[in-house]
Amino acid sequence: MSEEKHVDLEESKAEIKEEIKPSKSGSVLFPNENKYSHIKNKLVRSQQYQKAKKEQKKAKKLAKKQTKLEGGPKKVPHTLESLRIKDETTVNDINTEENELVKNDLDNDEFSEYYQQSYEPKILITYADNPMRKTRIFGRELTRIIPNSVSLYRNRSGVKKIVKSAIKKDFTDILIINENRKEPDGLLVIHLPDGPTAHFKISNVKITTELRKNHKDINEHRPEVVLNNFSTRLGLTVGRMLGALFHYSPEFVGRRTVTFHNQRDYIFFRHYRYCFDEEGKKAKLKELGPRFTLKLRSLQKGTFDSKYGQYEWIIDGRRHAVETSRRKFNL
Amino acid sequence: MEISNKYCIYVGTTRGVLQCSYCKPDEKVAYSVPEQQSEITALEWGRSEDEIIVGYKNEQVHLYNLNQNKYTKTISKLEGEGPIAGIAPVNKSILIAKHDGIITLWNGKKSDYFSINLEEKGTLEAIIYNKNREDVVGTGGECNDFKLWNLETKQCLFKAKSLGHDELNLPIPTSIKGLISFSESEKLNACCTKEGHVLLYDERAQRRPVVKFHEKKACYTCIASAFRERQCLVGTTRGYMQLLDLRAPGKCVRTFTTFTGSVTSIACDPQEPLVATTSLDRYLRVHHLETKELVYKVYLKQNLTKVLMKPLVKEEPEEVPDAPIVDEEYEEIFSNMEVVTDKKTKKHKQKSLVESGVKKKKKKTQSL
Repeated sequence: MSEEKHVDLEESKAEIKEEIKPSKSGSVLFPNENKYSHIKNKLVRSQQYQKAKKEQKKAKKLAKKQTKLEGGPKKVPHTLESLRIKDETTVNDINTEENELVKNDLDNDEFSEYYQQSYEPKILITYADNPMRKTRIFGRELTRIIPNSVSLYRNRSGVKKIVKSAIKKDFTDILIINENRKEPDGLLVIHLPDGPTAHFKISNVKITTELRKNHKDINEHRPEVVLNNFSTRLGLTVGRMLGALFHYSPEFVGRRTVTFHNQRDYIFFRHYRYCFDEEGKKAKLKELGPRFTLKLRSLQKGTFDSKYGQYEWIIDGRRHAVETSRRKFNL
Repeated sequence: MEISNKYCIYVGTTRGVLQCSYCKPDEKVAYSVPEQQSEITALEWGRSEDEIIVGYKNEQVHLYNLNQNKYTKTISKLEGEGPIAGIAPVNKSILIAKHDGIITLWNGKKSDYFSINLEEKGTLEAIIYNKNREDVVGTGGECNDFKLWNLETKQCLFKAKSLGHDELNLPIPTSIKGLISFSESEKLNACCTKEGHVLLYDERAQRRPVVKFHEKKACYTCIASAFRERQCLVGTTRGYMQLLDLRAPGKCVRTFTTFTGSVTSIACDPQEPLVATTSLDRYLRVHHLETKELVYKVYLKQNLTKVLMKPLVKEEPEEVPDAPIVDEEYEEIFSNMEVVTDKKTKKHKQKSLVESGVKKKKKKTQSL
């Protein structure tokens, strides 16, 4: 009986591999009856059990080696990402005919000017009223990372007023860092002059001192920007928005990279200096800090207007509707 | 509910693309890209059945022909400044309203225009024109309460009173975002504001609104009349749609929350409880009004701003072969009947002629 069941299971596993979906077909698994449980002596029993287990492991390893020698396909572990529910807004190749409208949209959106390299971004970084020490340091470090940026205190000014005066002074983006319990917890990115505005939750902020790094390691050269895994239409807009904060032509002399890595809708920010080895094949990475994680809360059309502004995407009040499955992602 | 191929929905986008969907599952939506790309701010059925009028943010108006799938005419260099706020077909001419409050009656060759004299901050956001009531147009916008204008005399017919002052003695602002007129009476008009009011005005009764519905948190973007009497649909910036009953006191009947972006435009079928909505999240959705079921949903690749919906009439050739069969049957019946009746009448006549006297006697005996 048990052998038959095993065969069934293997078959179902093969099916899974083809579809890459979690199994729903598997029959009920009964607990394995231990061969050695009838042995009364505890020592002998455990020894026997360990021995059998070791052999099992060995056999498994051997089988794995064999498949590798034969050149069989490498198994890819099932993760939430690889089992991701397909999103119809995913943009694979923008130049195909069916994506003509997407391309048309991107060619005419608010960031198209930046990607045509017609202006150099100039960033204003500011804080909530009365920022505490960590938030202030975090903002200062961001100015070191982002070229052509200044950090200013807000002086109790409203966001809409800041937007107006920043447009006058030719800023192209505003970053506003919010804080809660002496920790930065929100990031507002406003693209000027006509928006859009993105609101991120910010978590796990580690400033350089917390990573035992020195902020003086961050050089003045313009960094390279890596945007990872922004695949859906919404993700594309967010990626373009984050990319537009940095100068379009990096200075490779500085060997400095900034990465925004999207994984399961969380955007991980890391900041590295790299160094190629003598052969020029592998790169050593040295993290410079800071590091933090972003999660998109809302994307709004136009500059900041939380009362009357039109939202392109908003999660507030519909988390149960949007987050229906652990395998469904928005970015 | 199955609606595939029953409706034809036209959608305008922020990049000026006009798309047409037939509600089929997995269909490739047809689209047409204009030369100059600008956001579509107004979309309306034209003067004839195969025409659509499209108003853009860059002050242009295009006429689109549905049969040829082409832009046939461009109307530009109109009086006034700002994006097109509203369009309406009036007989054989077109009414075009601009953001700064200048309304033009365009007639191919000549155009006639008048200004609705706005205040400094005031804008024109929406117009309403009722076909049952020619020569009258309703306007509304930011710092610009609901007004009705006579097109011929260019005089103001009706001017709404402001909502007064709140408990702090500050004037209550109303910035009108959309206007509708109810089908049951042309003197009933409703508007939605970005402060979360839905106001119903009755011209005959008073200048203040007859019914006031207020939701503090909401910011309405658009309004459309629903298929039932005195009901309307409003969309919000935070991505939900409400079905309101405007019989006093106004109340919210249903809320639709399947949107992830701001609702920008609503179109409702006048007969059936189906609503088409466009949203900034790039989806066109069709909901069932009673069950709240999402009947149809399609990804249209750009931010959508305007929607138009019309039911497709089924093609008639299917019915034609049926008709002659029915006729033949009837003919057979009639032919049979005619033969019988002729003979009988003839016989009767003959009999009556010959045996009239006898019959009368018989009848008399029977009656006795």
